[in-house]
Amino acid sequence: MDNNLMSAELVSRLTSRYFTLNVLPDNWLTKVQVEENELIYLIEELRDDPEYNFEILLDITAVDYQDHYMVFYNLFSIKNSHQIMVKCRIEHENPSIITISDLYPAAEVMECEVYDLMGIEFLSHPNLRRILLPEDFEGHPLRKDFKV
Amino acid sequence: MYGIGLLKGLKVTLKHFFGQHVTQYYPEERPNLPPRFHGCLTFEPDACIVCGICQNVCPNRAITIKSEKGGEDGKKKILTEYRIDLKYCMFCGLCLEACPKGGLRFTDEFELATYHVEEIGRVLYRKKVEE
Amino acid sequence: MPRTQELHLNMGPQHPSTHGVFRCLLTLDGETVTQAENHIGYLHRGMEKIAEAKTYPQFIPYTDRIDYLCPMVYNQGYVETIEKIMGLQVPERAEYLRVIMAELSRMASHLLMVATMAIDLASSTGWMYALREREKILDLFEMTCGSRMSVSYMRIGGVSEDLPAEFIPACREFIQQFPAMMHEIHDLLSGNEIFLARTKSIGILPPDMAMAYGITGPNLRASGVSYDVRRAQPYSIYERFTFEVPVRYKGDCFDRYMIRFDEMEESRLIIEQALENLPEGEIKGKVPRMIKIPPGEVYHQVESSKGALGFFLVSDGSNKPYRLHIRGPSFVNMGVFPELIKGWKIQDVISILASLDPVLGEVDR
Repeated sequence: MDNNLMSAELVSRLTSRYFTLNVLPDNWLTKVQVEENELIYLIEELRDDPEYNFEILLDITAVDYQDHYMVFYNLFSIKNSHQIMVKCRIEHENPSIITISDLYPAAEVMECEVYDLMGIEFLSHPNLRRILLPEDFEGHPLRKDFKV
Repeated sequence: MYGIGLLKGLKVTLKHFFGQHVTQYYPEERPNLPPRFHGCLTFEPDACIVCGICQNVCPNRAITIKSEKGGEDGKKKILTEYRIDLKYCMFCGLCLEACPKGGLRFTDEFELATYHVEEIGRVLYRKKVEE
Repeated sequence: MPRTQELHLNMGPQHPSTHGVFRCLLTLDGETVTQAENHIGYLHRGMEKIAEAKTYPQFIPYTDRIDYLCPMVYNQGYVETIEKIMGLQVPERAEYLRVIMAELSRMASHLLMVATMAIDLASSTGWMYALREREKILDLFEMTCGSRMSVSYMRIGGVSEDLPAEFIPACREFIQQFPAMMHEIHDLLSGNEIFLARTKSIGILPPDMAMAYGITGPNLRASGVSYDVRRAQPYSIYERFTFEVPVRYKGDCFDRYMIRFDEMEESRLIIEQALENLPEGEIKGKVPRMIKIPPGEVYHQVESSKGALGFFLVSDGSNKPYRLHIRGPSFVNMGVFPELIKGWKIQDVISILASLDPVLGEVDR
């Protein structure tokens, strides 16, 4: 199976620019973890810098780890054929994170889905609503404490 | 010329109008089903060793097995009822693959709709109660 | 004094051209759409939550039911995700069988897209003819794995059953007559003046907008961006086959319709090569009876008929997934729909929706 890792030079350039950025080992794609306050700048740079050039936001998802949430952003660059997964840890109490829907319009529906199923609030999102479940549904089903 | 595409299309349909039928008059004419068709399950009670693997492997827990202790030493499990709830069955075939004795089989019976919801479950085996 | 006002119109959820239960709230100025909002979720079954309660093999039948028009690719994506994290080797023959089945499934899905597009634009003959061909593919599936649509064919480490003896001749025959049939549909539909008037230069999706909205698959390639997961991130054995990634540049409804034909042609060539080189041997590798996955996470993508299909699996070491996220390409593709239909007339909304080819089982999951 082929991998879509970024070149080591590009990754080290990222680590030198962002204090909170950690590179996590992975065989198939570049995986980095970053703190919430630097997330939006990182993603903006990944999108706009021609050497990274991540044109497509593939996916936003979140995982409930009982004591914290982890939000995952998957970006792909068609031109350079590399993929990056950006992770961001957020607190378990009143989880919220800044939206990236002004950078990638695709994020709008994905963030709605994460909000709907996982209950993470995306700050300054233009239209955050329950997208899959009915408006009056109580709870967020993909949280681990949600009992079916 | 405008309309030439429409005429071309009419030519195609006209050719098929006089051609062979591709549809089937279903209830009168029975479909020709392949041997692997996933219809309703059948079950051979003699092969069953009441291991319960099929029950556990089923994604929707559609299979219910009831057994009792019996046999010569009173420890052997003896099957008393084998029931499949067809409203939950996805016809995926995982139970067939899991069965160590090959006691389960698909038939080509596909008209499984019933008038009442209670009738849809199917008892594939029930032990006769001896008087 | 005559007065004009905007009109709110609900398109769907029980509208035949929405391909399922999809509702779009349109704001109309006369016949022109000025504002639109998607309302989805009528078919939400909570697949991601179901996955957390099932063991790994038990979720395979559920993957058929997410995109019920292209089930083989979903099977393949799911089992490959698990094989990737476990590091399992799949026998050669099983890989070839997977590719054959996935490509047949892609053809079936594209044929259905052509058929539904025809009937949405009021050509019921086009619908019948395309479905007749799709039926032949479903017969091939039925012959191999017993089911026509919810196939559950692939297993972790291989496939469930080997091909029956009559499959290869039947498949060869289908492949051989396929170009003639494509020609027939082109004669019937693609040259039809009414059809052309309703699709050409309608609903143009520029490449920048397509990429910004995360569109993938044929819809993106119809806008001139050559991105195919099979080529960009080769999985399974796709790098062994020679095939083109078809691209069209205008990005209108007609291009999105025609690119499906181009893709079917490529799928046909892949199947031909796979049948040619199909090796003998095992169809299922050595897999432990109880599948437990070491803790970790993996993201795997395959190219479904609608776009890039991603599976994101987080494992905690038990026999059930800790979290399984599915990136449904239709879900993301539908995000652009309200933007795309702005300024178009209401009858164009139907063509645009048909050309985007969403499958609502995947949009709602």
